[in-house]
Amino acid sequence: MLDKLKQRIKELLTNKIVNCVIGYEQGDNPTLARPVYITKPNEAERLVYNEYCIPILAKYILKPEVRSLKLEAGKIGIIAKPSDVRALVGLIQEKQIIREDVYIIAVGRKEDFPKIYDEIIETPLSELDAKRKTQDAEQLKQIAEFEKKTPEEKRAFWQREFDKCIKCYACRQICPLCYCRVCIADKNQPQWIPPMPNSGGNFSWNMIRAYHLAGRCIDCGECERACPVDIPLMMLNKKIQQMIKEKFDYQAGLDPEVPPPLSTYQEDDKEKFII
Amino acid sequence: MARIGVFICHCGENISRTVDVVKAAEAAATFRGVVHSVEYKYMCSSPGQNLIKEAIKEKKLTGVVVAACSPKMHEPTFRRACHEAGLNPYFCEISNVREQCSWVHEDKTVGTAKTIDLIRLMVEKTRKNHELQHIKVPITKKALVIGAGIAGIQAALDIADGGQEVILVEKDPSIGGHMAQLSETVPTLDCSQCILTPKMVDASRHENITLYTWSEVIDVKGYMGNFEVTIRKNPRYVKEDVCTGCGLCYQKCPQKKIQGKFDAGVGLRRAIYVPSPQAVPNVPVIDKDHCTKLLKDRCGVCQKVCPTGAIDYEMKEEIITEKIGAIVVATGYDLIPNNFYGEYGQGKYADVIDGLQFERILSASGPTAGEIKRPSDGKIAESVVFIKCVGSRDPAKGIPYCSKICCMYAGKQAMLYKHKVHHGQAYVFYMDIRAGGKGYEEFIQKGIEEEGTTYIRGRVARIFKKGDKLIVRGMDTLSGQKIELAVDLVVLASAMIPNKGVKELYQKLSISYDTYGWVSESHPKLKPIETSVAGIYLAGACQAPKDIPDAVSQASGAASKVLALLSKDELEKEPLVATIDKNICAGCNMCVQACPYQAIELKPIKDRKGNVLRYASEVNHGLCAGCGVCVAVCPSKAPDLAGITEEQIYAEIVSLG
Ligand SMILES: Cc1cc2nc3c(=O)[nH]c(=O)nc-3n(C[C@H](O)[C@H](O)[C@H](O)COP(=O)(O)OP(=O)(O)OC[C@H]3O[C@@H](n4cnc5c(N)ncnc54)[C@H](O)[C@@H]3O)c2cc1C
Ligand code: SF4
Ligand code: SF4
Ligand code: SF4
Ligand code: SF4
Repeated sequence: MLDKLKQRIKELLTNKIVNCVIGYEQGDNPTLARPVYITKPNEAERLVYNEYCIPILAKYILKPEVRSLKLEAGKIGIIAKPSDVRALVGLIQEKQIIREDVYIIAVGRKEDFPKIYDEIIETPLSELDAKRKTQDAEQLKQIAEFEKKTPEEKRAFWQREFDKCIKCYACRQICPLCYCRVCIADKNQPQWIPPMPNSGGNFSWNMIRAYHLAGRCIDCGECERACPVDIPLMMLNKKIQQMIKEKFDYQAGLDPEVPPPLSTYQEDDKEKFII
Repeated sequence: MARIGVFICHCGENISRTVDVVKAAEAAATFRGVVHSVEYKYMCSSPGQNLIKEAIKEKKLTGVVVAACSPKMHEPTFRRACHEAGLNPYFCEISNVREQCSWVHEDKTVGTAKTIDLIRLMVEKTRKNHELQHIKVPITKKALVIGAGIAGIQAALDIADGGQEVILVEKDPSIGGHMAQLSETVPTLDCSQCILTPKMVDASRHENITLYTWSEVIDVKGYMGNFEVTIRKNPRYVKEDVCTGCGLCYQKCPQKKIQGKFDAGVGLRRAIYVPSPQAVPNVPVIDKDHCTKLLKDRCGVCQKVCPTGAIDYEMKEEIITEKIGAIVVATGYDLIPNNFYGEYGQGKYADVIDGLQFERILSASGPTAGEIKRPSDGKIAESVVFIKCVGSRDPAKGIPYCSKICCMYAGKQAMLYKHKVHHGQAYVFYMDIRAGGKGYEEFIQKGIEEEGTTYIRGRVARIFKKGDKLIVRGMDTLSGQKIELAVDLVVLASAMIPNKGVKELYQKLSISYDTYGWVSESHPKLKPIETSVAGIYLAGACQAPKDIPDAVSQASGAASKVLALLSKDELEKEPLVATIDKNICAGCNMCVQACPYQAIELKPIKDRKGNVLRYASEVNHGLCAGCGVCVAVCPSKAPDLAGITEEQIYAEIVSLG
């Protein structure tokens, strides 16, 4: 599979279909893979693809160095897991990238991807994806357990969890949909989110982060993975996903043509208070 | 340094009953920046306003907080007072201590404490106010009237006579609406066509009126003074500028058996037709669902006989866009469909018809040339039953309202029937008689006393056929007796409902309508002509069932509103609009999709070579209504709303500690 992938990337670069490919290379030790930009055909040899290829690559498409490449013509290639493709759908929907500017090389099982990729290298269910699936199931169970608590217990639970937050903003930095030029957490006039990692400030930060991703979170799980103090952020994200699915029959990251329900005005909106 | 004055109103006793206003004034005097704090019985009265004006001058106030009723009531009053005293009106804020405090509390301690808090936060907000100036937007001096029934025609004529240009759009092939279908009209029995036709001709000839018939409004953008309207002119298949109206085409068309809309199904027309001899414009239209040429590419007779070569089977729809300053909605009404009231056999028995069909039979220019021939066999109807309130006032059928004009036209139709069939018998079944118009009661009395119409109070339970008669079975609720009448014809005064497809139009216009689809007026008493959208007015039966005099007066009212608006060159608009900080905006498009007024657009930001670096949003201040949706939806709060800035909201919250 890896040989086929390398071969294909070489061809794409040689034929000038893309002028850069975002993929993974071997990290400092065998259990680490890190993102890499491949711009020359022979560099394709550096590519790896294994269960350690975890960090979301879609995030890199927004980096200024990649953006400036795009100005010079040619597409940006990206080796994409299902979550990468979902993130790309979100970014296209929110006009952060233009579909024609990216060349999506999906790697995995066809049924796991939204159908917007340019080509797919089919593989059986990878270890990584399988692990993600069991994780998902566990989280849903966790949420179901949590729902049984009283409102006071729920609040106490989150207060305890958020109290751990050290305001490192790793969750924000890794999130493919967190691309604001100025994050609300960094604004100080007015300062809606107190910068100190204290109880109240942490609560505002974590709730606002979750709310700003409501109806947009594409369920990659990166925020929770990045969090150094293991706050179960995906419980929040997934609960909101469930509610959006239930109320609006919508799931983020599947179809760039479907208008996102939480930020679209509709004449026949059943909530009269909008205007 | 801020120098703020606080003015607390008793609102008679409305506020002071549950708020200790003296205590509140004392508390407010201690707030940071407050240099003056008083209470008064009626702040909105002229002595009350003078208190504010004098204090502004004497105490050199830089801000005013009026603790009173809802800003919806008197914000303009107090802002004007400040302006008159030389203070920028946007330094005046209203703290709503009536609707949001005194009216919802009973306990005076609670009411007083909350009032003090409400004033405190408004003082904090006022400290962060900025001077704002009205936004000036130019006005397009052209009106659009949608629907050319009598209401639309009247509105168009009045606006045009006032010297402004009007576009009159009608979806049918001819203007005139329902009035053109009527025979004679209550209460003076003048012939409907005779009084309407001159107005139709005037409308088509007026130099200030552009008429688009067989056309529909398909898109509306913009705002008061600056609407952009897209109109679709459906293909007539007859060139309007070439046709002379000679009528050879519809005399020769072999498709003869089509039940047309104008004759309400009691008369037949051809596939190429004019709705009536008085149609304006007098240009035929081809019914594409019945024309053999258009359906099967055979026939083509009309093209062969047309002496001027006006027939064009290839004609395509035409899309026209117009810039418009003001709009009048005059889309009229319709009657319930004939299968609505199964009990009465309408749709099943040819001789059970509705009021409009009977108008066509009564009409001298109608399919029977005014003879009362019943539809089934053309026999003169010797007896007729009129049933009122068919569908109307029937919550079970979903129409709880009264259709208002049926009492009058049923009485009229019975009378006209007697004029034509002297020996005939007319019965009217009624729930009660509502004749509340000038000359209306006298008219009904005349029908009963002089013309011998028999009025029966009661409801008809069932109608069925026996031989060539219709048996009408019901109850006379005055005598308590069962009644059974064998008659030739039954005329139903069917309920009026809004026209087909109007809800879609109203949604495009963003105007509100009620659950039935009647256009909602801005205020039921004081703004009966305004819709919920500024610059869009209503006229005629699109608001609710209405007779001709009411429709016409409202049309003239709407025209005067339009003329007043178009008499100005510029419109002053509240400066409370959003502005987006392009340095912060990430161009995510969320606010663009969320803005209910389509006021936001993504605009490219380019480098010196002209390369697009990124996109950022921009608000069109002319369109922005200051609703604040963009501020709420933007994750990085790039938009901010003048007069209610993020900083002000924050200050208000923080002031509550
Ligand atoms: C049987 C009967 C008898 C009556 N007799 C009398 C009487 O004797 N005296 C009296 O005062 N009143 C009488 N009336 C009432 C009278 O018909 C109305 O008061 C009058 O027609 C209302 O005029 P209008 O212009 O508001 O509506 P309409 O006459 O309904 O005209 C509305 C026009 O708008 C057009 N339109 C609708 N939707 C659109 C659209 N989306 N785009 C463009 N155009 C559109 C329609 O095609 C129509 O031409 C009678 C009514 C009935 C049913
Ligand atoms: S899972 Fe976390 S990182 Fe991924 S999109 Fe959702 S919020 Fe962002
Ligand atoms: S990654 Fe974890 S610790 Fe860091 S800001 Fe986010 S929630 Fe807080
Ligand atoms: S929502 Fe905010 S960031 Fe997004 S386009 Fe609008 S102003 Fe810009
Ligand atoms: S405040 Fe924002 S959302 Fe509301 S009308 Fe203005 S631009 Fe549109």
